[in-house]
Amino acid sequence: MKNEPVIVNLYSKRAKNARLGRKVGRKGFASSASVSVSLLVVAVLCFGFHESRYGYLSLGIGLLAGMWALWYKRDLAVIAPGKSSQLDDTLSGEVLAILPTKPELSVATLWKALGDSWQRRFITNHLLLPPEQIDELLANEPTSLQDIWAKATEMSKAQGDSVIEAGTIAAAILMLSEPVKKQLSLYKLHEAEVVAVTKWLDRLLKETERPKQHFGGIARDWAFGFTPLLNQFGENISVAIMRHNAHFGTLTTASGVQAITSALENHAGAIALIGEDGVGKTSHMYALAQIFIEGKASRKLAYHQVIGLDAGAIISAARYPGELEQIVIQLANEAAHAGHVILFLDDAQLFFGNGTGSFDATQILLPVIQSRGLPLVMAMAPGDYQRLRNQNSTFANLLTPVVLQEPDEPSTLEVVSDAASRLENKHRVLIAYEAIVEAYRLSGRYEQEQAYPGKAILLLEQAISHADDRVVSARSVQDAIEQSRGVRVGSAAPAEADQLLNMEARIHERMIGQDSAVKAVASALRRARAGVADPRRPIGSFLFLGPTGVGKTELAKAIAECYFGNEASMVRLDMSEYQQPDDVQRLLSNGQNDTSSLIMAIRQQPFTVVLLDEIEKAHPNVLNLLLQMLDEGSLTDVAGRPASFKDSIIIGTSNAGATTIRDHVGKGEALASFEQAITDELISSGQFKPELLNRFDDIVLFKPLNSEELGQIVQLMIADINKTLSTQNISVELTKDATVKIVEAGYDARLGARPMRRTLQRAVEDGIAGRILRGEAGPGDHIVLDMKDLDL
Amino acid sequence: MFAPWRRIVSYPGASMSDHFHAWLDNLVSRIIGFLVRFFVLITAGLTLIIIFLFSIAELVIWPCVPVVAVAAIVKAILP
Repeated sequence: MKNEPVIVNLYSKRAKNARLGRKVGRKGFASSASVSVSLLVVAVLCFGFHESRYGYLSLGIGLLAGMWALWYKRDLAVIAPGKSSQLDDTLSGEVLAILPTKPELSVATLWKALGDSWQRRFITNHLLLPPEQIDELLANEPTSLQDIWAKATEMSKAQGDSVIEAGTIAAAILMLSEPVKKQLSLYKLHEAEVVAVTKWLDRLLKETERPKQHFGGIARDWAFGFTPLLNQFGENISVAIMRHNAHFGTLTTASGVQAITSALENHAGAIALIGEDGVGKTSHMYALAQIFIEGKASRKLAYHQVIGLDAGAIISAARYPGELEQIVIQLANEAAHAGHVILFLDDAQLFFGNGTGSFDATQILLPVIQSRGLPLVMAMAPGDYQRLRNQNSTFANLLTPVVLQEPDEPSTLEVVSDAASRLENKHRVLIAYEAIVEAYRLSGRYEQEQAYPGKAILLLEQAISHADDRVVSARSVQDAIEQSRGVRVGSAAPAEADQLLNMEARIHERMIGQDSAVKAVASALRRARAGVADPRRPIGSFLFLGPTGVGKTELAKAIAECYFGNEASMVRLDMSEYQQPDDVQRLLSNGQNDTSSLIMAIRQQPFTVVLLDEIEKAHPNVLNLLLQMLDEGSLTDVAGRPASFKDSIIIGTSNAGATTIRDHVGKGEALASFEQAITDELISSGQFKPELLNRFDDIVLFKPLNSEELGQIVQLMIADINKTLSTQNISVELTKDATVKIVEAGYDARLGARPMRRTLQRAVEDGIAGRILRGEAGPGDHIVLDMKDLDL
Repeated sequence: MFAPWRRIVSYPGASMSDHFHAWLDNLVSRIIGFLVRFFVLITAGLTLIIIFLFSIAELVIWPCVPVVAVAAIVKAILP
């Protein structure tokens, strides 16, 4: 194609018709048709009143107007593809109509002409590209028009189109023009995004050009018996599809729908449609109903209709014991008698007595399934199917399982894009393609309980309320997840960036010393927030090693406050309670009220610090489990459902190696100089396995506190006391000597700074309390305590 | 053609009288079914014939329309 110049003949019959059709338009057609009908009526009246001259005139003009209208309707409204493979025969009527005959066509004039087409606007709008910027970039475009036509032809063939659409040509220009490509990369756009939006447009075009579906003519309904009760307690999905002219596109050819069809053809009797929430179980049934409507089903399934039962409506209708069962029996009988009915039980667990608002209909449904007289499809989650197998194996064994898997990324993005078109129409907004990709990414990360594509569509719908000027962008999706999950996923705002850059200072506001530990942790958190860290692992994982009372737990609390905004954002487990091999089950339990379950804790609070105290005391099986948590950022509960730790900071603490640390520090050595020695010692002594140590992002050593640092801790504690006393407008201050005295009394080499709080209570708080009660201290007083005032 | 209308059927009881009533009910259902189907088929057949006749008429009339239109205008203009 490159070697042979391709010329578009803009004076061909197709091109002329296309231009004329565009000029006339629908309004022109409507006017001609109205004039024609009116004049023909006038002609009849004139002849009736013997005004033959006016009658002939009206008849002549009316017929000409009618011919014009019919010509438009048949030949001009839709320009059929030409027979040859020449470009002017393969371009769509819309493109031929908007291409300028003068001046000579160039890439720039072609792009400008395409601006008259909504398809070009669809592409630029959904990619959030300013079209005038592209106009400027194309002014001196070196790419030849030949290459554009060749690319558009290639794309059109790949999409299976009968003609080359305006959107495809616009996409070809965006993909081939070097200056435009450079500009796109500034918007973080690549060829893949342009192709995806073009395919999205193509699906939309095919959808709008699809003829209205018919449910087999007027006699079709007579093939079924009357179903008054089913109409009351369910929804006729087949009729709903026909009424709303709904279309499920590629889903009709999905493997899941084929599996259901094949099971029904083999007289499976009842099918268990198994899939996680959001995977599209209901949509699969709608797609199945559409196949029946389109007459694409096999002979065995021809003329079937799908009726979905509403468990809630059945339960609310039952007024006395036994009525519920009676209704279900009547429904099953009615469906069987009406014939050609496939009964669909959505949320089927509600019919098996599982979950709130459920009832047990298995005994009623059992004979129905055994007789195979009524095809049933029951949709349920894998957990519910497993529960049914455990509770009623006889019933479960009669069901033919059809398992729906999550679609892959390209398929999911296609489904979400198609759903975005529906949302755009419903909410009158524009959903940018970047929003769709972001909804896919963020729902995958933060909505672990649901499956694709449902969870991405749900997030996109939530993002609509965060649209900026009626445009849903990636930022809108980020805002939606930030609001619903309380996590920050967007780029750091200047104020937040400042806080992150000064995280060490913020931590030191509540923690004294341990500079290297604080720096290690702050750096890891900055990496995570800036998006540099691996998103498939926890935000950070640290092993804090050091003697008791040196600030390990305090640092964990400080991280929770600085990163998650609240000191309470912490799941704390004492690992000495998990010393038995069976304790693994406790950690992985999915019981709602199991307080020792790590899985439940992280599901309730995914954005948290997980503090594993005395980690070395846990059973090796428990530690093996932690390997997976640190490595993959997830654990799987006893029911096989994953729980994500990707938004948590994992901190293990241990006193192991404390003596060695104390010895080295005592000799005046820097922490960094004996870090490796400590790690080697922990491994050689068998306290930690090397694979566990290697999984942590950082092993952070805490040194014993010196007297100066202990003095600062005392001052921090005094500040806390002053905060409490501020309600009584009393303040307290320690002299330097008093501080030294408290440090001497409160420091314990084995327990670190931990006894300091008790010492301060005894020495300061008790004394102040006595003064207040004796009336020696009151509002506005500032109490200065010297060494002699302390009660030690 | 003679299937019961909208699958409305009665099931016979034990007595002869019940058997007779069920037979009568089903006969009525079948007759209604037959009549509805028969008239729908007749209507459909007639519709097809009318459409066919219109198509033939269109084939003949369509080429004449411009001539008729022009002739009518000329006749109106000429004294």
